[in-house]
Amino acid sequence: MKSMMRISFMAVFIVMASLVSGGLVSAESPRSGQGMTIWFDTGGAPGEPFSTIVQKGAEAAMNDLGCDVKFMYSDWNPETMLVNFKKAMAANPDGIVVFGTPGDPAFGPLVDQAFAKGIVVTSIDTALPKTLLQHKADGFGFIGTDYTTQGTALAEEALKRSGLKKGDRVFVWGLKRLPERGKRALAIIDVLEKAGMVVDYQEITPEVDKDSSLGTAIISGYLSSKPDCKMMIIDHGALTSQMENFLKASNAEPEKIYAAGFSLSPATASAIQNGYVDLVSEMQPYMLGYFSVVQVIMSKRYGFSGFEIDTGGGMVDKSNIGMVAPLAKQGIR
Amino acid sequence: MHKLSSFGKYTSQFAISLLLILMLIAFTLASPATFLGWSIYEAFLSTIPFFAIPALAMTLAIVCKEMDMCFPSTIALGGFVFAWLWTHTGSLGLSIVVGLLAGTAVGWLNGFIVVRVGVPSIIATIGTQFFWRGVVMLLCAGLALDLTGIRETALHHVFAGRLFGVVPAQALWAFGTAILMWLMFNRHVFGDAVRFTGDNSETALKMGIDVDRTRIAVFSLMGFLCALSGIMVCIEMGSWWPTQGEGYLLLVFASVFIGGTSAFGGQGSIYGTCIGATIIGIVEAGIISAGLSGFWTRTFYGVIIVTSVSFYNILAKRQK
Repeated sequence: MKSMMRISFMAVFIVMASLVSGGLVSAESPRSGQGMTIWFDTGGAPGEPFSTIVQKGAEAAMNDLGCDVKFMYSDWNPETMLVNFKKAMAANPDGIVVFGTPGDPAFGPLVDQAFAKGIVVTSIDTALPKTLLQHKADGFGFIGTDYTTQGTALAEEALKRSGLKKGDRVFVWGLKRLPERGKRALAIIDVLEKAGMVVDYQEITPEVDKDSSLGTAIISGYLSSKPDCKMMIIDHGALTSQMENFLKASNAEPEKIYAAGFSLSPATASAIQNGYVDLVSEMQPYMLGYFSVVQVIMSKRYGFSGFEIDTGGGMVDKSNIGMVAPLAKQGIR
Repeated sequence: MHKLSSFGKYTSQFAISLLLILMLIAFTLASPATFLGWSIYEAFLSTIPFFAIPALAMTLAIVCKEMDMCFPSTIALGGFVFAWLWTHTGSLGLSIVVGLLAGTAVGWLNGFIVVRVGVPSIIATIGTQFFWRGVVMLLCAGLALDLTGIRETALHHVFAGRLFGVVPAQALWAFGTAILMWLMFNRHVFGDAVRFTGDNSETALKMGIDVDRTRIAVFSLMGFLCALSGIMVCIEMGSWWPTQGEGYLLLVFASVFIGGTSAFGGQGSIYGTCIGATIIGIVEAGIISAGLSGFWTRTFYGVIIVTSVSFYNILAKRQK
């Protein structure tokens, strides 16, 4: 009798569970991006830290909103970005996300064609001001930050926190040769020079740009020839992450030189914790990916206009690295 | 490009050594604070081995009239296998052995495609470079691996520690590798097989040299040494990153050709490659220490490569 009752209870429970779950499923509203396809240019090459975090953000939005995102890679080459855009347009998707690196004159006419075909376009990382003005009402937005603003903010913050005085020597290692990206190094130099610092600028060579392990001798050579250097600003994520190794190889004690840079990685987190990097400015690339997908879907489905979202301003130092470091390992920060 | 006689070979080695000495004197005069202290040499000894080791193997490949464009990806793959295994098992011994085996396997496969399938080495290895980089990207999902904990291990001292607190261990490994490679190239039957195969493979075959096996062995050795370099980079830097090895492409070829190895095969110099790698490795730091802009670096690379290769060619022509 008892076993019969148990079986009956179980049967009732199973039926109720299926009814509830069925009810829940049927009550679930379709997700905003359901049935939509977005072609997404990640800017860099597959596996590059920055592009990977952008892609992860876009993937998170894809999972949250239920759309389909197809990723393209341009290796930071403006021509490839334009070719990718044309390929994407030929596939007639609902939306396209681009890096604005090629600029308004190159992208403007293509974006006009895309909107004429009913494809929503939005740009990330590098702004396209004229295109934004023209198509903002159609849903063309910009997610990112201005390189000049980001460079200025980091240099000003580093000056404030380090307490350097007029005439102090600062080393800046950057990529002036890149048209848009170079604005960040120029802004850093501008702030430092206006504050009366002696600035030693060095351009990052293509070899060091690709393989940060080659940077050791450069920092060692510089520091031994300029032992009075008080601050180093590294306009490069991978090189910032290796500052601990560079400074150790140069026999520089932790906290002796105020070091600031860009972008987070597990190695940068370790360098902050060990006192070899003091301040990191983060563009929060994950949000470039996430917000841009949201922007396209919202504009396509509900006709929202383009938004301008500033993702810069994230500053990481010893006080908040404990919370951020595990996220850097997961490729979110 | 003409080939050098024995006399020409020694003249070229003397010339390249002289060039290095002159550069060091010039840099010392321009920046005595840097070049009269030890720390810059410690920095050189900690970074030059990373591309000097693949350059030693590349010397043999080029002497054998082959080209391995896959090596940056082999460095990344060897480093990745090592880093992944270490983070998942904590066993340094296992990680190093499997990392080295992975690199050797990639090299062997390159050799197999070139020798058995018959695809020209430059084309085959461009293809495998893309393939292995892609595989690594897929496996790591584009994320760097954090190896900061490796600095506390005993093997860190073996591979990237500082002997007496000043001499980087990787320099000793590179030095040991260079001696072994020199012995293999100049005092072992394998070196003769490589030279004859590169000079004229049909004649080498008639002389009883197993040309196919020699070529596959050269590729396998390349894979092994690239993996060793990748592993040492990981241990020194406390991290592995997906683009590892990509910056070495120009530096490795420049080291080999500045060192006097003939682009047409059959002739090369292990000593020359070591000096070539040192020259290439000190240029940028020397320029920056002298207070010049880093924009000069590539100009210097170009001048040194063109001058040295032209010098070897003129020397060989005169000896004809």
